[in-house]
Amino acid sequence: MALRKERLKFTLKRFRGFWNEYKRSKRGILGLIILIFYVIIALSAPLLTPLEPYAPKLKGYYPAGTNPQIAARLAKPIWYKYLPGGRNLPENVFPIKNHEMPNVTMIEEEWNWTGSNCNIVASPNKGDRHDGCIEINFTSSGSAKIWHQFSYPYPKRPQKLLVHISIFTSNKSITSVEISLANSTSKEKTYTHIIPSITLADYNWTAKYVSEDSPRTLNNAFPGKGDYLFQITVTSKGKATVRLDNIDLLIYGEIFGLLGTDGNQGRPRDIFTTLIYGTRISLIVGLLSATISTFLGLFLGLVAGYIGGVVDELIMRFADFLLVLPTLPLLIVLIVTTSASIWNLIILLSFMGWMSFARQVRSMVLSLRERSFIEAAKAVGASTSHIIFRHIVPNVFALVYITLATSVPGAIITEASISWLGLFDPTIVSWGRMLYEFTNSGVIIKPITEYWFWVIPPGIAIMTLAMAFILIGYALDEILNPRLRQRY
Amino acid sequence: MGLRKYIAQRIIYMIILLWLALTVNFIIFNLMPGDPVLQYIGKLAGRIDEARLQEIRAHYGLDKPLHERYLLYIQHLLTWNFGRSYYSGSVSKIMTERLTRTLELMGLSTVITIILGILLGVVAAYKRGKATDTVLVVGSLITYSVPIFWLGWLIKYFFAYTLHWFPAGHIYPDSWVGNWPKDIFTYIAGRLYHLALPTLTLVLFSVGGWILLTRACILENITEDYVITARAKGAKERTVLLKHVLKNASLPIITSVALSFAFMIGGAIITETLFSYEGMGLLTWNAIQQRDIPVLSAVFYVSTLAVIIANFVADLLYGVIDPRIKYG
Repeated sequence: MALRKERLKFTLKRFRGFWNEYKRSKRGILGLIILIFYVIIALSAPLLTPLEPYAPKLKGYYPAGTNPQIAARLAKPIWYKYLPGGRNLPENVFPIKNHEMPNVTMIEEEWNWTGSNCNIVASPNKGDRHDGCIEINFTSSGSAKIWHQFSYPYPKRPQKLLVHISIFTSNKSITSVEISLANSTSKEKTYTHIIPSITLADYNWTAKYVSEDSPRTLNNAFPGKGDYLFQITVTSKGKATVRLDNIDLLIYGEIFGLLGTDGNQGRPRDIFTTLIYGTRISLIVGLLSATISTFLGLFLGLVAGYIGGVVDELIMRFADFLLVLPTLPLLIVLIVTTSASIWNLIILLSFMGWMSFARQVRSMVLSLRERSFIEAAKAVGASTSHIIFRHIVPNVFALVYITLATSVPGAIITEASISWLGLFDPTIVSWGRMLYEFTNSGVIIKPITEYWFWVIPPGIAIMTLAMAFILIGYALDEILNPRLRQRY
Repeated sequence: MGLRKYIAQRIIYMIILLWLALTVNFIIFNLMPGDPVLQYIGKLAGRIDEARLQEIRAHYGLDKPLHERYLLYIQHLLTWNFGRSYYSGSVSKIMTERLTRTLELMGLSTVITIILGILLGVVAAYKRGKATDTVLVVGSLITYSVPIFWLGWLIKYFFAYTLHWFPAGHIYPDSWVGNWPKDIFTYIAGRLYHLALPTLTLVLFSVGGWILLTRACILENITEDYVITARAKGAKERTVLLKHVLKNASLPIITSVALSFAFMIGGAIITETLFSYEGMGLLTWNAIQQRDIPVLSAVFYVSTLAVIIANFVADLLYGVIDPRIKYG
C-alpha cells in the first residue's frame, strides 16, 4: 500500500511539473480551452436544447400522419428580432395550448361555441384516443361554430399555416366541416378551407391536416397584426352526432431557434441542436479513431522494433504499402462496399492511421534496445515483457500523447469530407452531413443572408475543433519531445 | 552499388507495390462480404439484355475458379479495361478523358503550391519569431484545419457568386459547345479561367503543409556548423538561407512531393465536385451517389497507380540529387 501511495505522489508531482510547463504555452492553453468547451457542450447536449437533432417534431398526438415540423424551412435565427428592423419578423404562433383536449376545464377555457338546432358540450371522454372532445348533437338540420380567439402580433405574414383536426360523425353523408380564420372585430373571414368529404375510418374517426404555404393565401389570411378567430363550422342536414378532437392551429413564423432551421424539405432541423449533437459525433470519431490507431501504431512499432527480423520487415513493408494508398479513394470504396455506419468509419480510419507512428516508435525502440539500462535489465534476467512494458514503453509514451493529439484533427476532417461526399451514417447528422445537405439543397443561388446560419456554423465548428487539437499537439510536442526541447 | 542498380531496385519495388495494390483492389471488389460484383450484376439484370449480361459475367470470369478470376481481374486493370459502368458505358473511355483533366488541375495546383509553399516557408524561417512568421504559421494551421469543401464554398461564394470574377463551375465556357476555339491562346485562356477557382482552393488547402515543412526543415539545419561557417564568411542571411540551408533542407521536401500527391487526390475529388469540374473527382462523386462499383474500383486503382508512380519518380530524383546517397 505504501508503495502505491508513493507512486501516486510521484505521478502527481510529475503531472504538476508538466502542467507548470504546459501553462506557459499560450497556444496550448487556447487549444485546451476550446477542447474543454466542446467537451462540455457534447456532454450536456440534452440540457442545452430540448429538441431532437435528427428529425425534430412537435410532441403530442396527431393522428393524421406524422407529427408536424417544429418550424418553417430556412427560418432565420430568433435573435434577428433584436436587430434593427427585426421587430416585424414573425415568430411561431401556436395559439392552442393543448390540442388533445384532455379534460372539460381545458376545453372550456380554450374554446367558445354557439349553434342552432344543436346541443354542444365538452365531453370528458369519447375523444379520439379516449381523452376529451367537443360533442355536437344535432337534433335536426343546423350548424354549429366553435372558435378560439388568439392574437397575431406581427405585421408580416407567416411562412406556413398548418391545421390539424380529428372529426367523428355518426352520419357522414350529411356532415360538412369548414375551417376558417376571421378578424375578431369585423368577423370578416380572411381564410377558409372546406374539408370536402369526410371519409370514415373503421373506428369512425377521421383525421386531417390542412397545410398552406403559398405567400398569396397567407398574405390574405394575415393582413396585419391583431386579434383573430380560428373557427370550425360544422353543418348538418339532419339528426347527427359530431365530435371534434385534436384541433390544432400552427402558424410558422420566419425566425426560430438560436441559429435558425435548415432547408430540409418537410422536416427542417434546428441548426443549433444539430450543431450541438454534431459535437458528439466529431469528438467520438476523432478521439476513438485517434486512440485506436495510436495504440495500434505503438503495438506494431514495439513488436517490429524489439523483435526485429522477418516480423519487422513484414510490418514495415506493410506500413509502407498502406502509406502509398490514397486515403480518400480507399475510404470511399471501402464504405461503399461495406456500410456507412459511424463505427465502420472509425475502424477504417484507425486502420489507416497507424503507419507513421509505428515507424516512429520502431526507430525509437531500435535505439533504446542498445542502451545500457536495457542490457542491465537483461543481465538480471528480466523477461521480454517486463523489459518492454517497464523500460521501453515508458520511454516512448510521451510520443503517444503527442500523436493522439495530432491525429485527431485528420480523423475529424476526414469524417466531415466523407459525409460531405454523401457517405454519411443515415441515422445521425454530423457537421459534414449538414454541409452535404446544404450543398445539395440548391439554396446557394439565394442571397447569403437567407442561409448563412446553415453553412457558416458547421464549417467554423469543424475548423475550431480541429484547430484545438493541433494547438494542443504543438504544445505537447514542445514539452514532451526532448529533441525539440534542446533546439528551442 | 551504382545508380543503375539503384534504379533497377526501385523498379522492382514499384512492381511489388503495384501488385499489392491490384490484389487489394481485387479483394475489395470480389471478396468483401456482400459481394460487390454480384451486387453490381444483380442491379444490372433487367436493365440490359441477357447477351450483354453474359458478356459482363465473362468479363469478371464469374464461372471460373477464384485464382483465374484474380488473374483476369489483374489483367483487365493492367490493360486499362475497367468494364462497364451502370449508367455510362465503358469506364475506360470515361476514365481516360477525366484523368487528363484531373491531372491538369492537380499538376497546376501542385506546381503553384510547392513554389509558393517553399518561398513562404523560407520567409517564415528567415523572419522566425517575428510577426511575419507568426502570421504565416497561424495561417498555415488554419488552412490545415479548414475542411476543403467549406473553404472551396467560401471561395466559390466570394469570387463566383458575389464578385463574378470567375465562373462557378465546369471546365470551359458554355459558348464553346459546338463552336470550338481554333486559336490556341483563346483555348488556354478559357481553360485557365475555369481552372482558377479550383486551383486556388487546392493551393490554399495544401500550401500550409508546405510552409510548415519547409520552415521546420530549415530550422533543423540552421544550427549546423556549415551555417555558422557561411555566416562567418560574411555571407548575407538571405544567401545563407537560399544557397546553403535550403539546398540541404530540400531532401525531405522532395520526398514529400510524392506523399502530397496522395493527399492532393483526396482534395481534388472534393474540389472537382464542388466546382462541377468534369474530372475524376466529379466522376467519383457521381459514382458514389449511384453506388457505381466498377467506376469506384477504377478510380481507386488509377489514383493508387498515380501515387505509386509519383513515389517512384521522387525516389529517382532523390537518388540523382543527393550525392551522399549510397543507392539502397
